[in-house]
Amino acid sequence: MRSRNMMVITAKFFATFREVVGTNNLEMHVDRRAVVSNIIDVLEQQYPAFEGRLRKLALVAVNETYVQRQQKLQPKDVVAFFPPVSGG
Amino acid sequence: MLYQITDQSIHTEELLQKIQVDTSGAINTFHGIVRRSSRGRNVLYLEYSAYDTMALKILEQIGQEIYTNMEVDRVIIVHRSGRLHIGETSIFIAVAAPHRQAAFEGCRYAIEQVKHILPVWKKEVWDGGEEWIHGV
Repeated sequence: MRSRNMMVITAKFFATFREVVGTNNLEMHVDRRAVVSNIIDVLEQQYPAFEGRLRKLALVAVNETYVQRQQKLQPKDVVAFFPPVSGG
Repeated sequence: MLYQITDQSIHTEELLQKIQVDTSGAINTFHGIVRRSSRGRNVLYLEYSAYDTMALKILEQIGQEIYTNMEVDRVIIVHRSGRLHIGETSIFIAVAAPHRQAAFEGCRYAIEQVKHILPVWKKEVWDGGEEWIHGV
């Protein structure tokens, strides 16, 4: 049984960040009070190959809208992490 | 208005026909093209990866900003995904406006915004290696 203080979110990864994690989507159980930077801390710890790049470089979008590091998360949010974009 | 992320070739002539309206005295276009040489490497092809659904929203947002802030008639932005070979069009932007200044400025604004916020990444593949290219 998961604690009532936890919620489920989906983390998405692109480009080099996808290669670090080895998958596009990751289901994560996180604290209900979590903000984006808490998720980054967990991921940096879980995947040392990020080598601080999530913290320093990542653009973050919640439900397909860009957000800041202090953005509060809601259950079932889709939180996308990606390196600086290189389209065009 | 037409915004697309597509894994199919971009047919610029067909798109140009769609943008022409009789209130427009100017159409400015931007073609992004895959070039052979990058950082001294002989590039074979590029692989574009997009966060498709979000990228489409961002294209619509960029177009809406141009439409709201500049005197333009129509905006088209189409960006490729998938594998692109040398000489292929990776992005096509067209802005139609009554006068040239808005057409130039709208087009310039669109490509600069794409470079900064469109969630798309390219991987360079050359003889013997490959690398994701990151923006700054």
